[in-house]
Amino acid sequence: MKRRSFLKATLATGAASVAVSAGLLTPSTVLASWNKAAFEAKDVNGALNGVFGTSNAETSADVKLTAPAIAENGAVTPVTVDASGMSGVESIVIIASSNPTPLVCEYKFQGAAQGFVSTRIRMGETQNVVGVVKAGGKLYKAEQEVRVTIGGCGG
Amino acid sequence: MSINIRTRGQVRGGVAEIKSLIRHPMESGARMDQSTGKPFPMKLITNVDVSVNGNKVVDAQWSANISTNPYMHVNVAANSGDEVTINLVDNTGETGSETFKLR
Repeated sequence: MKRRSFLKATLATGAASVAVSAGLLTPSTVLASWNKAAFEAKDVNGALNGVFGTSNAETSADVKLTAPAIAENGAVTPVTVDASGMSGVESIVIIASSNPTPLVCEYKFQGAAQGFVSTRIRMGETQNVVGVVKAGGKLYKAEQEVRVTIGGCGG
Repeated sequence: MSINIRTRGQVRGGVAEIKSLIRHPMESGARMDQSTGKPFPMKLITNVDVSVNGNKVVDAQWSANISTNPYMHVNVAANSGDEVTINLVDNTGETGSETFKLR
């Protein structure tokens, strides 16, 4: 009996702390326009489905992905996705395929913006970086392996 | 307190290269504090947008996979004298904004 009530109590507090750490208790208004499903997806296809509703992307030479072959510090890996040679680029997504939640960022473009993004990302281990471009309703991608010698997810 | 942004925009051949450096921890909420055994509270920039002369041209969403003190470079067709505004929001509700004229 004692053991049972002890278990109950620990389980309850455990669930509460999990909710806090997963960010479930942050005000929902703040995250209103944040694509939670896509950002919490655990694999590449889940992330693509969350953003575009499909994971069908064809490899294209018009998507130019620039990333170092070897990243000495995975916490600051410079990545550039250049699709400015394509017309009608609607959005660009960067994915780090083996990170716990692979989706890095999603950029939507309108009007005068060009299909170009350069940023610095965190990588926990050696893995493929994928740049996915949506242009004219279709998905195109470019992929490159980046070797990480020091992991970045620990901060 | 608002989020610190440093920006530079340079127009070359009708294209403005807008580069920003943002001071922010980008804390995922999963990293453990070794001394207390509890995770550091989540503090993450989630939304970023860029406007030129009041028209929104870039609308971005970020995750914890973006590095601490984020760097962002986007290109926009614009002319010198155009006014660029960058707005960002993190999950705690803190905001940052920077407006400047392209040279």
